[in-house]
Amino acid sequence: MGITIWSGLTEGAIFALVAAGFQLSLIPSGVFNFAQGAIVVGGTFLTYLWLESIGVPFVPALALNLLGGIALGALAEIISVRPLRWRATADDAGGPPVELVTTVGLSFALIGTFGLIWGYLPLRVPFFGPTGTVEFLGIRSNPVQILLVVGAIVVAVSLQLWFSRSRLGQACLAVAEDRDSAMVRGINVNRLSIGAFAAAGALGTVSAMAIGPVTFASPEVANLLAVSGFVALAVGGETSFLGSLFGGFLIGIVSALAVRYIGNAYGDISLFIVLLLTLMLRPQGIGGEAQTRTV
Amino acid sequence: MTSRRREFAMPTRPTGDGWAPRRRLAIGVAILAISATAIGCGGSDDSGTAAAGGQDEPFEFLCLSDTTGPAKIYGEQQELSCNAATDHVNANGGVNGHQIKLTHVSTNGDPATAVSALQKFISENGKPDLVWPGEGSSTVAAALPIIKREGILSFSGSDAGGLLVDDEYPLSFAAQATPATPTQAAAKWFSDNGVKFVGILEADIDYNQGETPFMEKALDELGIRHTVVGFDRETLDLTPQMDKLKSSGVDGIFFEGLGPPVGFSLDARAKLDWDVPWVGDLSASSLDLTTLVSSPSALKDTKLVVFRPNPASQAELPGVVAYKKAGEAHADIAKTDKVPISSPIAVWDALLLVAGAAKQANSTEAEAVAGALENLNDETATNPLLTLYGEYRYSPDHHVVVGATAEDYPVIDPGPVSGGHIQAPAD
Repeated sequence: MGITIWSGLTEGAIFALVAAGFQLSLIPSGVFNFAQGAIVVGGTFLTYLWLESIGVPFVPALALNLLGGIALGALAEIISVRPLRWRATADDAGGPPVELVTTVGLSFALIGTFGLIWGYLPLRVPFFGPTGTVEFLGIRSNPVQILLVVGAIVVAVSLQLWFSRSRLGQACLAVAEDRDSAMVRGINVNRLSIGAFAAAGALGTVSAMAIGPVTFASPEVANLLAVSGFVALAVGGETSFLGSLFGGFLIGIVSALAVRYIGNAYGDISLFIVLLLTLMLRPQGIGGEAQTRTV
Repeated sequence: MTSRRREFAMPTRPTGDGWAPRRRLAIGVAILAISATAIGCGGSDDSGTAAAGGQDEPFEFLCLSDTTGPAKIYGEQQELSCNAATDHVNANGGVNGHQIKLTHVSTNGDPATAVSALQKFISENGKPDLVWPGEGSSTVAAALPIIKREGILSFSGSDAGGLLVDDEYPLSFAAQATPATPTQAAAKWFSDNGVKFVGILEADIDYNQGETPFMEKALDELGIRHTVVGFDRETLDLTPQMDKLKSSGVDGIFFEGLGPPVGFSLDARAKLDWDVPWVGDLSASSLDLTTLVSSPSALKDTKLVVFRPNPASQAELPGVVAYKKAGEAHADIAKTDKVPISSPIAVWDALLLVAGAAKQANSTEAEAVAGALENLNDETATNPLLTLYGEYRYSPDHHVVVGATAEDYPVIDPGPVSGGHIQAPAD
């Protein structure tokens, strides 16, 4: 059972990293950036480009991925979110968030672009660390899997601390709480929004250096990452990084155990049950806080 | 998490693009049915160009393949192969004296686009004499009803999920056998190597799910026990499935699937510190296996069932040599040599068979050529320039290759793919 749980943990770590990217842009901007999955995939292709095609050493490749992620994130905000800020949105009329639709469109555009550039065959993304298998906690694992699990924990804890303790982080939470009030208090919400998208993009492309060696670089991974990251977010709570970390690990482990001990078809069913139970018993997510509403 | 992912098409294998699930097949057929109804089901009685006209009329060949979408790397090869085969047949007298006029249209890997392209061609140019509707089972399945309605001869790299194993489509043929023969080759390998209990790891795609009963039958005939574990083709890890097989006590793995899950399965075997032999099916051999594992050591005790021309040892096969020579005129042939040669070369075989059958029937009429294909003479059926099989035979109710033997499917050690061939593994 140990190796099955470890397998679930490593998949869950990937979903938690994607969920953290969602949250990073969602909290300060109020926009769910569905294109985050595509940005992570863009990071896997960039990693392939630097490390495999061109042969750039790891540190410059990391810096280039960071810059690429900032650019992709900022581009996402400028193309799919900012124009909608200048006009009355369906949100204002109580309709569905229009930005979600535009980020979905951007996601498809990015996926198609990656396909045009690199094709649709899966590309093996080299891992910058050791390969092969190692013994870890009595389980044989790939070093990249260990990095993913440790990395997901470090990212979630760091972001949780930053948002709760830094001035800028608290400003982001204030915007998430009440955008108009935050503006009245002098917070530049537009700058926060583009900064948040850029930071989420950077997180996506940097984490892709560890995700790519597991998932391969392939345009069609994007939707899987986006949907799974969303489930981790919904289970964990939209403002809690630790919650979405737990959500990612939970869905990864539950799915792996269901596949191992019940049957392949039960992996997805088990996720649906976890999501349904969470929404029924704790709609704000495991790590989320209940909203008070005055009536 | 069980996950969903990628649908890049595969090269020559019995039912085509592999990443096409059953529902896609059904959608393709549904789209076709709706479109057929919409354009008013009346089929044309016109013969194809060559069949209708005199000796100067060209033999119209419509080649559909994905040169713009997910299966681009295979579709480009097929386009080049259509060109190479056309050049070769034209240089040798054409199809019963008619020079082939080739038109290629991209399907973008989409059954609806393939159907639209076929209908557009017919409305603008009349019926072609021959259609290659591609290899993807969903694309072929979507095109078959139009091909039947219009009375067009067709050859494909797929039997469209078993649609050609009866007389439903009398003018449509596949340059492939059913999965029965390659699974017999795999089962024999297990038997020869003392394996007593085989774990079948099956992807949830139409070809693999259709392949499993053949494999079970082949193992039963050799007295080998077996168990089946499925996996989602879009998975990111196969450790749970492999752990399940290990705990059930199997001493050999037969893998049915393609793409990254091939590597996931081998990596999981290494993580489980499990040294049972692993044999991959035809779909597993559609990509370079060495690029799918995280470490070369994961390939230990690994075998692949492949089509006859795939191993590097078959590079001198007369048909392969002729094919490559004809392809040199289309210089791009070298740029897509990173996948096994069986994908593009099926078109080559198909066109040689059609030319031989037309000569045998002394006609380019679809019905006459189809009749000759069902009763091929030895000259055509065993033409040394044919590549995938040593002998092609069809019958009226079996439009997939029935002359295939286990020798047509070598079981080899996987090495890197270069020049379109699977090379011997590095030491």
